[in-house]
Order: sequence, then structure tokens, then C-alpha cells
Amino acid sequence: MSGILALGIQDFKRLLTNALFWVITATLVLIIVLINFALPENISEEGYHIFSYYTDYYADQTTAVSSEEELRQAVKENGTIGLLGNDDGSITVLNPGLSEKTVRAMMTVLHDPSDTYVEVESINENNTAIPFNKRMTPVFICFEALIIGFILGGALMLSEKEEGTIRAMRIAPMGADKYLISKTVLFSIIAVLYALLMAFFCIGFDFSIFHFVLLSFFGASIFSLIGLAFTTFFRDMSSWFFSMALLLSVNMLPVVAYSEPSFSPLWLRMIPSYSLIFAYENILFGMGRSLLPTVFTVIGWSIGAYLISRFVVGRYLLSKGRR
Amino acid sequence: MITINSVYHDYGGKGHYAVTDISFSVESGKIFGFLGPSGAGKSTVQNIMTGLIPLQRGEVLYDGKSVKALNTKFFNQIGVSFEQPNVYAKLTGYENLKYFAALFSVPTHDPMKLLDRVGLRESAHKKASEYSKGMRQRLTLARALINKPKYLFLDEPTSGLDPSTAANVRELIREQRDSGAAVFLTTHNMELADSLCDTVAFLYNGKVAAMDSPEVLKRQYGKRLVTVVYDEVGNERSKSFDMDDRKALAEFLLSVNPVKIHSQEATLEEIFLRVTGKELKS
Repeated sequence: MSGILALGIQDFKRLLTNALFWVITATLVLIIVLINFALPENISEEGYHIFSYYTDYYADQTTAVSSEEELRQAVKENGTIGLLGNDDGSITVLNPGLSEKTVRAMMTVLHDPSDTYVEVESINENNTAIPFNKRMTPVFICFEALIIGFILGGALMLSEKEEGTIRAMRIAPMGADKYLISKTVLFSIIAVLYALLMAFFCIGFDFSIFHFVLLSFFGASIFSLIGLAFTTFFRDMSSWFFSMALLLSVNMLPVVAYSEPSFSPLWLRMIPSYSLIFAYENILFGMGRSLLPTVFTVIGWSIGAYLISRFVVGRYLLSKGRR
Repeated sequence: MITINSVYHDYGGKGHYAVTDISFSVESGKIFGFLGPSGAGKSTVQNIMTGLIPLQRGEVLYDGKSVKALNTKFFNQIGVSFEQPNVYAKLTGYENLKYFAALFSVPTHDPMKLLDRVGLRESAHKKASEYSKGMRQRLTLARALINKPKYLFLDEPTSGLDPSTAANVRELIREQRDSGAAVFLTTHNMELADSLCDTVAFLYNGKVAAMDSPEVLKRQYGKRLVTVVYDEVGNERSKSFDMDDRKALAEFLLSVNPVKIHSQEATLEEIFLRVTGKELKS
């Protein structure tokens, strides 16, 4: 245990001299400023409007225009919805890029044959009140604070390869466990601190810090372990950097589902950041969803990532019998 | 004791052996010198012995146990000083030793005492990136000693060192021998080998060309000569005689005006040349 602590301390000292560490730290400050001062609180409802042509549909926020061309132009310029009546009585919904599911749901309401008044009520008080900028906080925590171990763990490992110190480790009594745990714990602690800073400055203190810390620690561990296993196969920074950026881009895809919850195919849900981003939303904004599925997912990913990293790092990085 | 039996290694797997039929043993409390020019296969053999390269054929035994059967804990007993200094450039010398000391599960030396021993105390808190090559070499040596190794592997330990520091390092290596470590010294520095080693092996083209104690090798391959420097009408001239041909030497001494007489024995360098037909530093 003391060995792991000593290794962690020395790795932290190395980290302080690493330019990437300071870039990530500066990015953290930038994100906090961005969320609080640059992103608007509300983007979806502002300017909400429906344009129509050749229909008898009318509501408060509907403006009838005089031609199809004018309708198309209005939808394009305002990024809103247009209802185009057709000669056969059907309606074409012109939209700037809504999902088909959303459009169909809207059409069902519009063409409901009954006269029943449909009222929508959210049972989650916070849900409707989350400003847009605050709502982005889980995204930034996932893709800035949590991936710190993925990037910096890789950078430290590559410097060990370039300096040749990894050869000295191969003839030391250090198994993959000590190597992985010392680095993963260090990066997870840093990630928790960064995530807390981001949450405190952007959301405040009104959330379960215990759940938040646990989620951040294990979430960051998953990324650190995957990063260490991934970097094992690279010799230098230049070849690693491009592949790392590509992998992180894939990891960011769940942002699509976060922005448009109706789009959440199975393959997207399989990406580790998917569960994490919604779990942060749940914890930070009190969405009221059960955390149990997240617990199982994170435990599963943690065990899986550890076993894979242990195999890869043990066999291909620290293995006796490699040059 | 480290025992090597009929070790072969083929990097490409196509029958082109880098080392062939290497056999020797390194006893505890002894220094074994492995001598040869660059590319002879010295590092290959050392890497096989330390487990950095997998053993393909033959045997490497540590006190009777095969290197293949040794677990991670065994590496608590090994110290390796690489020819190319490989240290954490962004850590200080002291931090480097602290880092590596943390890898071992056996009592280790005090890093500062060790740095003092290799002459780096004053630079202990400087980053290794600010060290000269010789300083990094000494730091690598100190790192190899941090775990009080039972088996010590040294690859060109005095390379790039000034004579005074090299003498200090030689003394340190003797201390390790005297404390009971089996020291495996890889070098092409014949002077170093001559002054330190109990046994030396000449490696040439991946094969052991000769192996014994330096004294025996000198007796076996070298000619013991006596050189007489004499005065010939104001000019100093010299003539060498085989030490066994005492009659000729005596007759010559009576016939000239000798200025000085000294014995000569072959150096390891000369013996290597004689055994392999090649110079060691080529």
C-alpha cells in the first residue's frame, strides 16, 4: 500500500511538469467561465414559433404566411416549424432537423380526432427549470474532468517508454496491479476534484456530493484504465495522439442522446459515457430516476476495464521477456 | 549462483543465431566479466538472463531455479544498470531513487546515502534532465543498487566517467562483490575487466571464444617477456626476451650496458586480439 502511495506521489510530481496537465486545468477554468457567462440560460423556447400556409390550423404562436416559398424561407431562417397544407387535406411538417419520432408525436396530437384537451405536466419540478447552460454541466464533466486519466495516463506512459524507464520497471518486482492502481487512483482523485469544482461553480451545492464523488471516482477510473490499456500499443506521442482523439470523439457521441433523448440506440448506450452523463444529470438536477442501473453499469465497466488493462499492461507493457 | 547452460537466441526465428551455445556460471561473491565488441551479443545474453528477452533455448538458473519459473518477487533480488541511462528526466535524482525504491518489497538503501556514495549528493535535488551523461550513468548505477541486489548486472558502468569517478565506481562494485553479490559485468573496457573480474569470458560473433580468470588467460595466451633497455653509444635501445629463455637473457645482459629491465605480460586486449583475430573496440 505504501508502495502504491509512493508511486502515486512521484507520478503526481511528474504530472506537474507535464504541459498537458496544465492545458486540461486551464480548460477546466475556461469551461466554468463558459457555462456561467457565455452559454445562454435558454435557447429552445426563445423565439418558438410555428409558421403555416394553406392550413386552417391556428394557435397563439402561429403565423400564417402567404406562400409556400415564404413558409420554407421562414422555417429556414427561424429554425422553427412550418405546417404546409396540401391539396388532399394532408399536412407536411417542415422542420429544421427534428427527429422523426418528435414529428410523428406532434402530428398525432394535431390530428387527434377527439376534442379532449391534452395537458402536459411534469412531475419533476426541476426538469422544466434547468437552464440550458447548467444542463450542459454533465457533458463538460464527462468529457473534461473524467477523461483526465485517459489523456494524462497515456502521456505519462509514453514518456516512460521514450525515456526507457519502462525497461527498468520490467526488471523490478512490479506487477500490472501496482502500476495500474497507483496511476488510476491518482487520476481518479484529480478527476473528482475537477468534477467537484465544475459542479460547485456551475450548479451550486444542492446535490448529493456522496453520489457525485463516487460516480466521478469510478467513472474516471474506467477512462484511466481504458486509456492505459490503449496507450500500451503506442510507442510515441505523435502516433498516439491522433488515435486518442478519435477514440475520445467516439466516447462523446452520447451527447447526441443527451441533447435529443429520443435518439438512444443500443450501440450508443453501450458507450461508457452514456450512463455517466445521464447519471450526472440525475444527481445534479434531481431527476428522480433510480441510480441502481448506473451502479451496475459502472461496476461492470470498472471490472471489465480493470481486467482488460491488467491483461494488456501485464502482457504487452511490463511483461518480462519484452524488449 | 547464476548458471547459464547452452543458451541460444534467434531474433528473427529464421535460424540466424545472435548468440550460440553460451555456457558459464557466476558465483556469489564473484565478478564475472563478459567482454566483447559491440554487436557480439553481450546485451542479448544479459537481457536473456534478466528476463527482458524470453529464453528460447538452453537454461538460465538462479540458485538452481529456472528463470522461466521465477515469479515477480524474484526481481527483488536483481539490480540492473543499463548502458543507456534510463531515468525519469523530470524527477530529481533523489526522486528517481525514491520512485524505484517504492517498487520493491524488500528493505532498500537510503536514497540520499546511495547518491552520496556515487558522488551525486550535491545534485540530489536537481532534475535528472540537468545531469550530464556521466551523472545519469551514476544515477542508473545507484538505482541498480537501491534494493541491495543479490544478482547485479552492470552494462558498461564506467562509460563516460572521468578517471576519479570511475575509480570510485570500481570500488563500489568491489563492495557489492564483497557483500556477497554475484556481479555480471558487461563491457568492452579491458582495463576495467582486468582490475575487477574474477573470471572473464570473451564473446565474439555470438560465441564464447575464451573464458577463465584474467591471470590464467594471460598465462595461457600471453607471452611473459622481459625487456632490457640498454645503452648503445649514447642511444637507448631495447630488446625483449621470453621469460623462459633465461640463458639468452643472461648472455645478453653480460654483453651490453643495461639501463633498465622490466617484465611484461600480455594485456586482455592483446589476448582478445590473439583469440579472435579482431580488435576489441572494432
